[in-house]
Amino acid sequence: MSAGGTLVDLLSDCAARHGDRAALVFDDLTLTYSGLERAANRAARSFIRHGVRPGDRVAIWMPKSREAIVAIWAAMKAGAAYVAIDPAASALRALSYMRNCEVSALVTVPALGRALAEIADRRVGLNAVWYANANDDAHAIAGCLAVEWAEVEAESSQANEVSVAPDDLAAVQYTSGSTGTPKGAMIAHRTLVHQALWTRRELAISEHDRIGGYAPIAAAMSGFDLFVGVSAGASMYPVSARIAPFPGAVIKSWSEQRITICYLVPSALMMMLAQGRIHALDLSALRIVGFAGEAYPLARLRELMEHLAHVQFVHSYSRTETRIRSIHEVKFPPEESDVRRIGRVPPDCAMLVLDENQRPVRTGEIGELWIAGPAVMRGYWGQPEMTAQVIKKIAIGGAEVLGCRTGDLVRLCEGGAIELVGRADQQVKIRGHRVDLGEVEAALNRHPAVERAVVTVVAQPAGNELRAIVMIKAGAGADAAQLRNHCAAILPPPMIPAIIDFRAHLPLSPNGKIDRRALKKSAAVDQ
Amino acid sequence: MSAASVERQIREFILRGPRGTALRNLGSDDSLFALGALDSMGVVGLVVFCEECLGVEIADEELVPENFQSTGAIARLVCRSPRTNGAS
Repeated sequence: MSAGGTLVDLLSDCAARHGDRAALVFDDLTLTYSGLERAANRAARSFIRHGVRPGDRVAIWMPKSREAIVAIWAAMKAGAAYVAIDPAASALRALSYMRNCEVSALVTVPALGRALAEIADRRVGLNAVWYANANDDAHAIAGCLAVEWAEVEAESSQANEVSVAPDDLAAVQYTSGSTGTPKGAMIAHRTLVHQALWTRRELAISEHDRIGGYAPIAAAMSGFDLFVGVSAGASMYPVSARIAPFPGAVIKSWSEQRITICYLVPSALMMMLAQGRIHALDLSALRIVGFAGEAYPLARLRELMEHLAHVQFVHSYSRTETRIRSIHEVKFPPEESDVRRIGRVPPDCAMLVLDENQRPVRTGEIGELWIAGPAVMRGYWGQPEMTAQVIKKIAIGGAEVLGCRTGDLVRLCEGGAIELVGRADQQVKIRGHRVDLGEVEAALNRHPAVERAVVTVVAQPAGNELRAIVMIKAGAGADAAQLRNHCAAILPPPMIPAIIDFRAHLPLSPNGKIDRRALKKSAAVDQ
Repeated sequence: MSAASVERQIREFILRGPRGTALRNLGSDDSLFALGALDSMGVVGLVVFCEECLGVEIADEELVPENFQSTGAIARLVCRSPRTNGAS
């Protein structure tokens, strides 16, 4: 398997070499690698039968399940890119993603299909909708064919004739953007294969590993669970939608399943530690805990490392747009630099620390992190201007490379190490989810009663929370519940403000902009 | 507060959520997780609703999937949970 292959090749190779090994263990049902290959072939044939063509997009909007994972592989086998959408997203938001990248097919469950049918009065543009776990009547969406999953099972399990190339898109992954316009990062097969093979090598992942898959399939982090195992013949144990909300139940199941590797956000690890009675569980099989996506409070990390003294802890850095998955091994006792240090990256990827004129900073200075190499996305779907703002040609030592800006501020340390310092923009992390404060503000400002809204982040013991400060229009009225419902219709759950305060006026800085620092200070006083 | 009334209030709470009217056929034993009706945030919101509006205290040990898999299961959990003082 060369680094230039596709994810489709990766699965076929794995099925040929490790056909009888467990690929997916889900709710006590095991699907082997040859079983996964056959199931994906059947679903790919069904997609093609109902109009999915190479270069299309297939949306997968449903809770994490066996069918959802089979559908991801099937979309790629049909030559399409998969577009995983958070099942908690409102129908309006799911529709905005589907319209943005013009998906030709959707795989969902009946309840979500109904939610979509209620708002999609005009033709959505879909050829067909597949209903997995259909235990009640599927609801017709105007202008598209409904296909029951049982029909998929009747297809031939032979591979289809479509050929997929390394530069073809494997996925379009949506992320929060400041304007409220959907930002779909286009990720090529080459990028995800490169990332999977690098991770396999650096963490010495083998067919004996059992990976606990915690990340939602719509999150970029799920690339670890979905693809690294396939590159090594390891088994993936996806955390089902049923137990995912209960961190104590997740860690207990990992003990029973003898999970060896997991890769997740610190907020999930902190909840497992708080609710999971880790000291009473047998976690002797666990060998690596990787964490990424947000800052890990040092005291909490130390506490978990004390409980799991035999485990290798790894701080990793990766973003939806730049799939680099760096590796920094944390030694006990962890230090502040351990939760900030980016660590090593693939030899063919470059990390550049640049000033605002895109010139390298000197050692000790802070700059913005840019990434170059195969880890970089192809751009945002249908947004050439937005793409041009983040992907630029950079001159480095006489050569020109295509770099992608991350928005992360980093310090270039002695010896070349790079440490995360903060953000260059208004992006924050809420329970590991990327949230652009500007997008939440834009949503609130769309409410007819809102004159102006400002959103800040408040640090709470359980993690960050969003706090909105709202000025209501003269003569209009809206309460916090109404504003929260308004947000829920257009924003995913992590972006709905937990606290909504009303103010008669908002503090302005001397240049007439809203003074965020003053607001933050007043938020601290309120508590 | 009867079990049936508790279950009705829980059902109404879930129908007010982002899935809203698309769940109007929700049955007492339907899996809320498989339907996408409840996720991590939803569970947190539901626990707050049970504690603040239904006047019971949900113990940490009860935060397990079995107790939240359907409106019927949640109603049974509420009915056996200790009542907080002063709740109606």
